[in-house]
Amino acid sequence: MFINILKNQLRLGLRNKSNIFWTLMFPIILGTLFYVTFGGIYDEYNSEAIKTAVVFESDNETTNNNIKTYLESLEMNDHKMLDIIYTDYETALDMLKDDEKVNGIISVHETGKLSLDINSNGVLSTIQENITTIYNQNVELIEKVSKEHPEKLMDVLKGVMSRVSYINTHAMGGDNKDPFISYFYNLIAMAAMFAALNSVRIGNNCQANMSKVGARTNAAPVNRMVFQAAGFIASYIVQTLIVFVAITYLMFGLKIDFGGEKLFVYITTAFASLVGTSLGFFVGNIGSFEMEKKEGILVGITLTGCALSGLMYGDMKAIITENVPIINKINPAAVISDSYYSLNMFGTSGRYTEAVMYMLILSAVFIVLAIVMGRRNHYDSI
Amino acid sequence: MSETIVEVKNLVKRYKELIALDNFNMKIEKGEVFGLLGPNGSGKTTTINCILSLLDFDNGEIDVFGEKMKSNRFDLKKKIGIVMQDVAVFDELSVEENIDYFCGLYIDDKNLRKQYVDEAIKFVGLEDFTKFKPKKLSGGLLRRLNIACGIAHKPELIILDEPTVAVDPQSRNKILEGITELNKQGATIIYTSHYMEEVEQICTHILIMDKGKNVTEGTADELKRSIKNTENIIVYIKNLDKKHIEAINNINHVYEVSYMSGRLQIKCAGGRHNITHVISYFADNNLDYDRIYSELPTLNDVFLEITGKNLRDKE
Repeated sequence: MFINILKNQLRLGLRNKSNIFWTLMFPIILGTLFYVTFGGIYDEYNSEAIKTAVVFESDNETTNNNIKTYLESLEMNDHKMLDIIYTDYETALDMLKDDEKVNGIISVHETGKLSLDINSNGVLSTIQENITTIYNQNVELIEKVSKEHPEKLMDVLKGVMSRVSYINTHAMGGDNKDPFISYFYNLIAMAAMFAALNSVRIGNNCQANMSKVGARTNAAPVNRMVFQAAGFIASYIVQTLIVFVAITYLMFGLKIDFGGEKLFVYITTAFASLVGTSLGFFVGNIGSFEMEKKEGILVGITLTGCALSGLMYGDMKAIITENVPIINKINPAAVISDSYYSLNMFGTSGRYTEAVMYMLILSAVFIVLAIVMGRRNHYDSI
Repeated sequence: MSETIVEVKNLVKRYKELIALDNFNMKIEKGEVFGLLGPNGSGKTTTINCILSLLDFDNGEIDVFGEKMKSNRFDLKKKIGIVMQDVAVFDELSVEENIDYFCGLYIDDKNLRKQYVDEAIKFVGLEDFTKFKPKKLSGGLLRRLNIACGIAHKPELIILDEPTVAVDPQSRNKILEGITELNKQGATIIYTSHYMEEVEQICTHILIMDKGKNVTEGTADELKRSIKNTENIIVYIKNLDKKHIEAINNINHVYEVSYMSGRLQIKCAGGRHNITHVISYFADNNLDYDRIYSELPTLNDVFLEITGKNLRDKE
């Protein structure tokens, strides 16, 4: 009986054309647009070092030499990250006004800290900003530890050194140094969350007060949990296959490098699909209102979640992290995109495991809530 | 000795302030085609949903096949087939797949299921449409699919809730023949409908309910005999004076006369040969009429006399 229900639920999922469009065609179309749009920009910045003026306002030669070594050692894609011109501030300003000469000015102050002048925002400016920010954070950290916990200084220095090394190899995206890769993470997060549009029907088809088929189903001699389980598994299988097709197109068709081992990209996608399926399963069981309203809620959650995790504006996730970090922990899109990010940046390390755990926890919460809400056996009205 | 298939005792169901079922009682014997009649909102579908254990009820008892019906009594549910008022099928599955799916909820054995599905398709006459999706079917074919999904597993008790709504006469006839055939094969049927002629045609026992109560029940003939009206006389006559209408109303056994658009309807109580008195009146008064005939009361007359003529949807 379970197999028969599962088989037919698979048919229902595979023949749900609107769902297939949203979950398959949408990421393919949008991914292609992202690829065309970002491709040119990325190639430009990726091909040569960023022209940067460096101004020493300090007379401390040791500090100046250290910073000089640090900046000149930065590399990206086997070439220098920065094309440095050492000059005075006035000359640097003149060069900055003419974009062709430099993209920014890094000033070295008496305090040993760096500041950055730019005349417009962009990818290259973001890279320069990351360099100065991380350097300054390290300086502050070392100063603080020297004063408060000198015994831990060596440990901190080791950490700082690895961080400098991290800037070199991972600053702009680890295995994949494309700064736009996060848009593709969010795109896949969106595709995975659209799984909910399929699984939302599970609850609807099982509850007598939600649909005609639900009433017929409830009159049958089958435990509702069997329907729920078969529906969930079928929905998950269908959705995972669809998102696999989408990500295969992105990885092999458009040659988008998600970083990390490809096997783990697929494994991450399978977990992402679980989050989306669980979300739909939950919404499908929350009340007896119309299916269209439930679909509207899901589309709203998906689009809002993806917007907050950076689908429309790349820096949004960082802004949320800074101001309301809890949102990134409960936003399914952010949790999914963070898993791809972690895989890319840190491989299958603890950070990635933690991100996957978040996906599993979120899925478990949705599933438990759906079961609790969907297990009633009687209805006050139909 | 007859075997009771469904027994509903003092059933009470409230929707907040509204009492949908008010100490409702009903007993259905094995082999009956049981007609459950009532105006809109009288509680027919609520009764069915309670029997199927889909709805909570406030008081009373429901026994099915001699045992207490509960939502987890899968052994009892297995013997019941339901044809809902609304078509309840999956749009994405073909005719054959839909029947197979719903039959599969009752029958595990794949070969037996295949046989049952084929028989159900043949039974409702959908052999030429097995690969069609529901959206490609006409209203009548869709209704037949709906029935096939409810009866494919060969249930002992079949509940049909207005299965012929919005179908053409050919499909309706096919459906009614099918229900009679299912009954002949041994199934007990509960049938609700607003079409009185259908109920009269197929039901062996009829219960009329109103405002959640069992108002009356019996065979069609018993119900007809139970009402005041024994004969309806219809006369087509032009320009009849009001004084004649009043005079006809005073003829022995006549209790209601209505005249509209040249059609005179005379309702009589007591006896079935009152037409002779009416013909005599017209002859005595030199009144020419186009046509006159007499008919016995129908189930519709019974229904209207018992439940009244007020529109229920406006209440």
